[in-house]
Amino acid sequence: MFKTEISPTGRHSSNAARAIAVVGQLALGIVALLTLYPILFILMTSFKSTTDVITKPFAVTKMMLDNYAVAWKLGHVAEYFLNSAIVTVVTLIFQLVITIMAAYAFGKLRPRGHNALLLLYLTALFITIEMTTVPVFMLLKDLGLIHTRWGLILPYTASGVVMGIYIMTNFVKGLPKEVDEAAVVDGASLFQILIKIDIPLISPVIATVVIINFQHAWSEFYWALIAVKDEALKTLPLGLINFQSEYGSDYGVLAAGLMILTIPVLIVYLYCSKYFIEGVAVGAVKG
Amino acid sequence: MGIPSIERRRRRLGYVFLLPSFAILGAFLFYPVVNSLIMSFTDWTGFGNGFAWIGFDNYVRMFADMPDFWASLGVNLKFAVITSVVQTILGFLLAFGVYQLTQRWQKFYQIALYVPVILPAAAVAVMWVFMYDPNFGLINQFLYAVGLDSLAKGWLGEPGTALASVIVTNTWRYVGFSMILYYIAMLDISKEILESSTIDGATKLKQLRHFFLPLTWGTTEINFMLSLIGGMKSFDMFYLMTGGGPGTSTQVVGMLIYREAFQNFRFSSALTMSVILFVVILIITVISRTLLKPKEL
Repeated sequence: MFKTEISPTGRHSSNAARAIAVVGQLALGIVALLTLYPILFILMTSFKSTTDVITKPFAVTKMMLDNYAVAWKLGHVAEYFLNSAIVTVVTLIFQLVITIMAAYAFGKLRPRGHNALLLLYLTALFITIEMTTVPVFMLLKDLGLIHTRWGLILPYTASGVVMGIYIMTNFVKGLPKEVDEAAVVDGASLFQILIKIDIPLISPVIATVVIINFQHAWSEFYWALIAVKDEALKTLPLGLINFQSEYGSDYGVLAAGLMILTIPVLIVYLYCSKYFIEGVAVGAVKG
Repeated sequence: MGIPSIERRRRRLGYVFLLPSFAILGAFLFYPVVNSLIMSFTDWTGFGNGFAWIGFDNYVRMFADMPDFWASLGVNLKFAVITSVVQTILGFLLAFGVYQLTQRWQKFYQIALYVPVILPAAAVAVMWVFMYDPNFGLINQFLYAVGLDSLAKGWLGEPGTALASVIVTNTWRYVGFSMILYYIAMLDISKEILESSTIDGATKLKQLRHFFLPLTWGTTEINFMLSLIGGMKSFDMFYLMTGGGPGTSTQVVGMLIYREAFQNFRFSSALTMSVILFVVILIITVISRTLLKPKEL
């Protein structure tokens, strides 16, 4: 799996170098195992009966979906799942509309003062959630939105918007201007240009922003813990914690709940891993 | 005629387009931060709107008789520094190793090592609580299986190992992130330089020292700082895995703030802690930036 070491001068790479390569290869293999095994272990556990979990923790025993059925029905995971899905989807739609509009304004329309405003937005990247928790809680309470889905959706939307605007603005700035000008000459309105020409052009970066924000909205935990008390509104991460205290000793069911929380994120990630890596690369520049 | 009016329309549309983001960020980020700062100078409890100005009393109290707060800050610092160092070094070595592989294996490791990063905190925590379980946990089971029974213990339940256990979990979770950033930076290193150095007989180890390390130093800075800041702000893992215990051995500031605000309902005190934490993070960011400034080697 290592590139073979052929030195252009015709010398063979030394034994020592080859030994190092083998050791490195082994080490990487072990790391991959350590990384993925816990997840596989939980997956395996989710198919086992409680006795099997305790007596044969490492063995692959017969596959059964009973745990998933128990988690889904009795553990209310179905409801948690639905809540998470609603909150995540609405959040993503809001974020996308807001982010595209802002990125278009910053990158293209550039009204007076846009640079100062962008700078202000970017300072938000340094704000810690603890700084905003209490006032946001009070604000939502005053608006009557605490312990409702909006109490999650609005703060989630806000938290992802800055990063999205930052990534997308850079991208919009790089779009060719000629196409726009030609369209204006042809009598297209600015709005038509945005919808018909620009949005298709920025679709790769839209994907990046969606993926980053999907992960956050789907998995967020700290704020949900504070803003949701009502059992019927709890999201999956919160539900899972409940679950842990309720089914704490029923490892198979707990593992099944865990997989239900994890699988959607895994699917989205594996499906779009290319954009993920790119998004991380772009996002990293912010440091 | 035509052009200026388009220009004006552009501007007007620009303001309209900025309105939604301004509204949501104003309400949920900027207003709260300013509010936090202001209210930390009051005795506000969070109930109703009544409060009195008390100047720096909250801050004075924090310094005078909140040993809990400083102990927590200590836990945070220890956690943040250890994870940052381990994660950064490990991330670099992994990226360097992966870089040497063939294209297909590079792709595999890129995706595989990043999987824990995208897992929900709740999933990671439950998974690892499970693994650390004194009776059925994977780790103790493994130790029994290889005959090292004496090393088995209740990892999260003992003051000596609780913090270290969370550090291990946190590193497991985020090392893929550090690794990816390094990997991306390594892809930018000129292949020609590396090839010509190979011709000159440079070993991989020499390349690591003379090219990979210095040329990815900017990433080192970013990686170290991101994990340092992340460590200072961490809450999820501690809340979910140890609840701050045993005793207060893993009680981070984030947990203390959460308790103070939402269990003890001393909002102004919680806000004061947030402000101090913010300032501390700012200070250590500046310090680590200075320390990590690239020196001529």
